[in-house]
Formats: sequence, C-alpha cells, structure tokens
Amino acid sequence: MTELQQQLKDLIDAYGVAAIIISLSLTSLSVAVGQGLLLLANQVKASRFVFSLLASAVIFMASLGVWTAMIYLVAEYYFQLPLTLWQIFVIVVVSFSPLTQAYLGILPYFGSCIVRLLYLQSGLLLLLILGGIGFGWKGALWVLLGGLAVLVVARFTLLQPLYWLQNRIAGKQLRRRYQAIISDLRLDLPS
Amino acid sequence: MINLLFDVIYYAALIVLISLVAALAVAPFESMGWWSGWWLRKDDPAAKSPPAPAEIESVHSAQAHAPPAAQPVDHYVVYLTGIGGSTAHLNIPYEKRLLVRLREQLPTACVIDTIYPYSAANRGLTKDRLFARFWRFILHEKLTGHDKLGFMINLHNLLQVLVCADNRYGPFFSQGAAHVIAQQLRQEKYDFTGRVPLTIIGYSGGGQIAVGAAPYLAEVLPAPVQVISLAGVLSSTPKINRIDQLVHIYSDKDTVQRLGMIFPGRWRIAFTSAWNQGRRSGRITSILLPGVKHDGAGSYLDEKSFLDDGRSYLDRTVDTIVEVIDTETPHIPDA
Repeated sequence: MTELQQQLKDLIDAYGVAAIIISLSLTSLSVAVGQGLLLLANQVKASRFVFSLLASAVIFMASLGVWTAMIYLVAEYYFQLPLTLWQIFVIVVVSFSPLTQAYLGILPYFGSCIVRLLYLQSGLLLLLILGGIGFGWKGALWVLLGGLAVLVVARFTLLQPLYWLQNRIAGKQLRRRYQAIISDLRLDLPS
Repeated sequence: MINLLFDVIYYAALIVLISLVAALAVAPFESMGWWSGWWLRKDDPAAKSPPAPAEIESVHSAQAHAPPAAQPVDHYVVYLTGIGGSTAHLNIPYEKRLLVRLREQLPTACVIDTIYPYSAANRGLTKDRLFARFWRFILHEKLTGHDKLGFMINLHNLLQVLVCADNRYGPFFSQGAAHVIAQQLRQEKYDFTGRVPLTIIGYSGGGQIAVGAAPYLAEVLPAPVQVISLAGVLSSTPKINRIDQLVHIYSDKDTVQRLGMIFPGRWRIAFTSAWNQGRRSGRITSILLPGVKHDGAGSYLDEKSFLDDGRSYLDRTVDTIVEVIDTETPHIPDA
C-alpha cells in the first residue's frame, strides 16, 4: 500500500461515512442551486421548483457514480490496484468537493466563470490524487479524458431515466442549456 | 488596540463582501421570476401598464410627455434613464433638462420617458416591492441632497446591468425590457407595422439595457431601430448586430463609460465578438465629445459649463443626439 493510499484509508477511518455523505450532499445541492435559474428559464412552476432542484442534485450524484464506476473498472482491470469501490467513491467525492462553492454559479456575469474554474480545480484534484495512488500522471490524464467521454455517453444512455424523471417532476421537457432556450426567444408585440 | 482595529476592518470588509455577493446572487431573480411567470406575469395588468407614480415621484417626476397632436409623429424616441434612476418617472434634474431640450429640438417626434429600465417589468424601486419603503427613504435622502445614500440606487441598478450583460440571464432580462418598450410604444399609438423609425437613447447603464432590448424589437419591427448610447456602459451583447445602428457617444474624461471594457467582447483582441463585427461593418460607430465627465457638474448634461464656441455642454450633447436622429439610418445588410 502506497503512502497516499494509506493516508486515504486514514482519512476515511477518521471522518467516516457520514462526512463523505455530507460532503456529497452539500456538493450536489450546491451544483443544483448554481444551475437553479435554468429551471426558471424553463418556466418551471413554483410548486415544482424545489423538487426539480433536488432532481438536479440527484443527477449530479449519479454523474459522480459514473465517474466512480469508470475509475474503479480501470483501477481493477487495467492498473490492478488494490482499491475498493468505496475508496474510489471517496476519491471522487473529495476531488469534486471544490464544487461545494458551485452555488456561486448563480451570480450574474461572474457565475459561469467561477463554476468553470471550480470544475477545473476538481479535475486537477482528481488528476493529482489518481496520479499519486498508482495510476501515474499519464494514466490519470487518460482516465480523466476518458471519464469525460464516458460521462457524455452516459448522459444519452445511463442517465436518461433520471432526466426523464426530472422532466416528470418539472412537468415539462426541460432544456438543459440556456442557449437552447435563448435561441428561440422572440418578442411578442402587445396587441 | 491595533489588533482590535484590524479585526474591525476585517469583519467590516467581510460583511460588505458577503452582502455584495448576496445582492449579486439575488439580482437575476426579478427578471427570471418575471420570465418564468412566478411574478409580474406577462399577462399581469401590473406589468402591462406603467406603474402609478408613488407620492414622492409625483412631486419630482419629469413633465408628462405629450406627442404633438397637430402633426403626424415622424420619429419615436424612447429614453432609458441612467444608473441613478429609481422610478418609471424621471427625477434626475440633468436628465429632465435633456428631455425638455430634445422635445424642443424634435417637435415632430414622440419622446417617451416613462420607463424604469432596470426592471424587466418596468417596476420602479419605490412601489410594489418588499423593500419599497427602504427605497423611498433612500430616494428621499437623495433628492434632499444626501447623495452618498443615493449610491445604493446606483448599486442596485449596476447589478441589473450585470444581469443584462450576462449571457445566460441577459436575453430574458432584455425580453422584458423590449416588452416594456413595446407596451409604451403601443400606448403612444406606434404602428408596429409601419416604417416610423425608432430610436432608443440609453444613458449610462441605460445604454446596456438599450442594446439588450433593441435587437428583439428590431427583429419584429419593419422600421429601422437605432440605439444611441450616451456614455453607456456597454457589453458585446450577442445580438447587438440585429440593431440597425448603434451610436456610442462618449468622452475621453468619462471614466465610467470605460467600465464597459470589463466585458471581454469589447476588447479589440476579441476579433470575432459581436461588438467588433459591428464596428467593422459600420453598424456600431462612436462619437467623441471631449472634456466632459460622466455625470453632475461638467458632464454631458451640464448647461452651466460652456465650450469655446459658446454652447453649453448640454447644447453640444443635444445637438449631437439630434444630428444622429436626423441622419437617415444606413442600411447595412446582415452578415
């Protein structure tokens, strides 16, 4: 067991499951809040807003699940590292913990830039941790790039049921990018 | 003692920072809430008619605009107040004088000044708001000479300018602003199918609101739509090139209008930005009025400071605006 793996094990032992779950919940909620106004752009009714927001948080959690599964499979079958699924999950949650500040994404003008920086920070953190626990820097970079590709594919496949569920909760087919809504904006002249 | 002083300064700075971030976070909710239909719905009568002026407004509001009845209106001019505005009825003396002069110089034009541009639903600060009483107090203080408190109004409006300049929220805000302008035009019997030109003048932060809203109007109106930015703090709004013409009037001594350069799309290095495309095509032009400040004494709207040729600063500004309005808007084909 490498020194970093030992430190990771100590971290989990010291703070326990609860800390990881709290961190995951805070990060997910923060990401959802940061994107919350997208629901208003979609004209989601007030009565459905909170649950739609929670569904966004669940979708983010699921995307972390995709990361976890992908990294676990690579660690297990390619690098043959002695890491459990739980340990990988902790690594992913810790790596994405900068996104606890993702609620700042709601800020006008500066918000998008802040969120991009937070994602960059998370990516770098994941790169550093994976590189340190036995993936090597090159391997970690490939895992990171591969993970992004897998996530894109997962959005059209694995995560679709969750998107469908969120649409049901929101009561309409949500468009998930502002630009998709903005491109259809036309002024209705008063009669 | 020194430690205590540092602590006080540190916590005061922290409170100011947190308050600013909170204010910034809340800023998009009005326009996005309007868009989503949560409040001030598009079919809400409150959003359709201009709000009745509050008591304090009726004392200080600009003189009611009255389009000339004897002759047909040959031009519509919509004025969007500067960043110090707080209600749909003008209460800033410098701007009121500008409008009086514009009406004198453009007798056949209909000049509309009943818009509070920093709200997607034309909702002034002093009425129908949770903090209306607070804003009435601030406005009262400002009008009675306590300008420092009046800065709160500027800050509120500045945050709305940022919302308008945001690529995500801006188009929704601008839809609201365009809707409000269209409602006011309708009230002044503007023929939406006709060819009577429309000019939107935006002063200071109103300039950004004007360039945000004008493209939506230009898309649906057959008439030419022109924007005159008087010292506007402008971003490179993506749809800016839907406007038939944008004339940016600025001064070398005006440090506030230069704040527009915080928007990267305005930088010359952003070669493909909408702003730079507009400049290259001739759709966006600038006019320099040297030696004037952004506001107050010595500003574009000062009638007590004079040029060498005997005209006041206000005279020169009015002459420049009238010349732009009187010049036929050049037709520039879409790229």
